[in-house]
Amino acid sequence: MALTRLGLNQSINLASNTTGTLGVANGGTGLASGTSGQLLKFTGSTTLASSAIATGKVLQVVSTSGANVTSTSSTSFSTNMTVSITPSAATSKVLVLHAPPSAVYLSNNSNYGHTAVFRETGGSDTNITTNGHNGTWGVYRLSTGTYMSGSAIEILDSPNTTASIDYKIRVKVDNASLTMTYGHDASQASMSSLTVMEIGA
Amino acid sequence: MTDKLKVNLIAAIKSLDASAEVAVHNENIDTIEWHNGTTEIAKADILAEQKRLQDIEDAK
Repeated sequence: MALTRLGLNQSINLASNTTGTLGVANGGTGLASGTSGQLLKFTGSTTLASSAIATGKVLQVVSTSGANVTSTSSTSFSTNMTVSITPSAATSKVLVLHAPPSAVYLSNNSNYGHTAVFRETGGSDTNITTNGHNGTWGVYRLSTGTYMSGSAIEILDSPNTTASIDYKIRVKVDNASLTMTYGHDASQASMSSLTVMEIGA
Repeated sequence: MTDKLKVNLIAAIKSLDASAEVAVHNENIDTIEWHNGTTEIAKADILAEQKRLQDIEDAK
């Protein structure tokens, strides 16, 4: 290997006097090129690579809407709407947004009607709105035979999976003497929607 | 002239069995869920009761 001694005030021309790349351990990047618009990201303790900016970005959106009317006198939950999403990373969060129907009908004022959001994945069905009254989000109680507006739902969920997930709006009453119609009635139904967004971690 | 109350399926079911725990989707008789041990009622009986109640409502 030929060696050249540099004289005083002489310098190395990095473009013509060197070959290869300078590794991270020596203060370099170990890279010969990168991808336009991306950032450097450590992929190991001494390795770097181009990486897309994913943090906090909306990675995908799935939505459904329609006239979905459910009438119930049951103290068990029934599904009103469902939307499915498959997160691209287990670290992602999922923002669940429900625009409720403008009309919810209650047959009497003695009891409560409820809405809740369930997350179903791999056969496991979980209520993710457990902190409200009777483990629900929307709570409805009004004068006999009147309508009231539905309660919007916003939940930032951390499903911790890359498996397919069904998010469901479910409804029930707390006493079978009450009937609740979520969405007016079938002939004069009001619209509602369910949207889920995967947010990159 | 005022609109007549439309008698829905669950009203007919509750008229036949006041303690019934059921859910109906989009007023479709084929979507009825029977919960918590509620004895199922025949579709024909539900529809007949709905018509009976609707006739009473319409006559008001």
